[in-house]
Amino acid sequence: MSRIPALTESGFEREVIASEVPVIVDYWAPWCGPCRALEPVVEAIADEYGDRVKVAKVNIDAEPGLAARAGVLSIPHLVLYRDGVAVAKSGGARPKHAIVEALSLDEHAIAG
Amino acid sequence: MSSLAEIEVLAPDGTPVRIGELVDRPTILIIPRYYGCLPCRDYLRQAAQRYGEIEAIGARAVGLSVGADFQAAWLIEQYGIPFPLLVDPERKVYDALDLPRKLSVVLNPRGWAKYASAIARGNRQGKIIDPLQLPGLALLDETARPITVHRGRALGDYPPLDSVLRELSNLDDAPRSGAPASA
Repeated sequence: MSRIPALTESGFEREVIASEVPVIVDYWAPWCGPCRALEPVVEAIADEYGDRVKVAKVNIDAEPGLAARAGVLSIPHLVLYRDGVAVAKSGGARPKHAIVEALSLDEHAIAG
Repeated sequence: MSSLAEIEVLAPDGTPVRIGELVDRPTILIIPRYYGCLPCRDYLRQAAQRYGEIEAIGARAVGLSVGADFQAAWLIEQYGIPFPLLVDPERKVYDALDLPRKLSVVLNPRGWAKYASAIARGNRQGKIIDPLQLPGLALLDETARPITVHRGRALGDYPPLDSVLRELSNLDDAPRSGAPASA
């Protein structure tokens, strides 16, 4: 079972848009093999960045409206939100270092 | 998920083809509902027209569908599709990528708009082989490992080629098969 909290439409505003901490949202679906492959990478990022970045996930089948608003076409798809705005994206099951770079996490994460 | 590389499908002439033998570089695996599906033909045609861009980033495309073999052969001949079109009558790849058959695919009104635009671009509908199959698209690394998957929700629901090309250009850093996912 994933340690990453799942977001719903009702919680997205509070947990992502209004968050004072940058938020990585992992758009995924249970049927998606590459999403399952990426899960430990996302958990490792959550562990490494701790309170400096929040990490959450959205099941695109359960929350199609959130996926549509994020422009998600293929999964897995990570979006980094800062001050409620999507500032970076990473598509595909990629290694941790590539995701950290694509999301410019070291630049966007709040100071530890 | 089964290993895609080990799955054997068929060329239009019936020759068995193992996916792993075919995929030796990042690959767009276009998975039409069936080869007669009008918006699916339109998408294959668009990919063919932009194949130079796909090759320019070191990638290739492969089409794969439940059928039919004669439709695949017709597309290659009539549309000049420059990449392989394979047939998967036993649905092995669909099952591996979890692309099921669903009634909702034909009921979604978005799909009928895709049909209209495909007709406007001069495409012709072929014999219906599997009306309920969802369309899909996967990006594979050079070991045929799926990196992203798109599961269509309506007829002709494929991601725009521009976004596919952007994602492809990032695949060079995808984890290699057998490597730890968190490496």
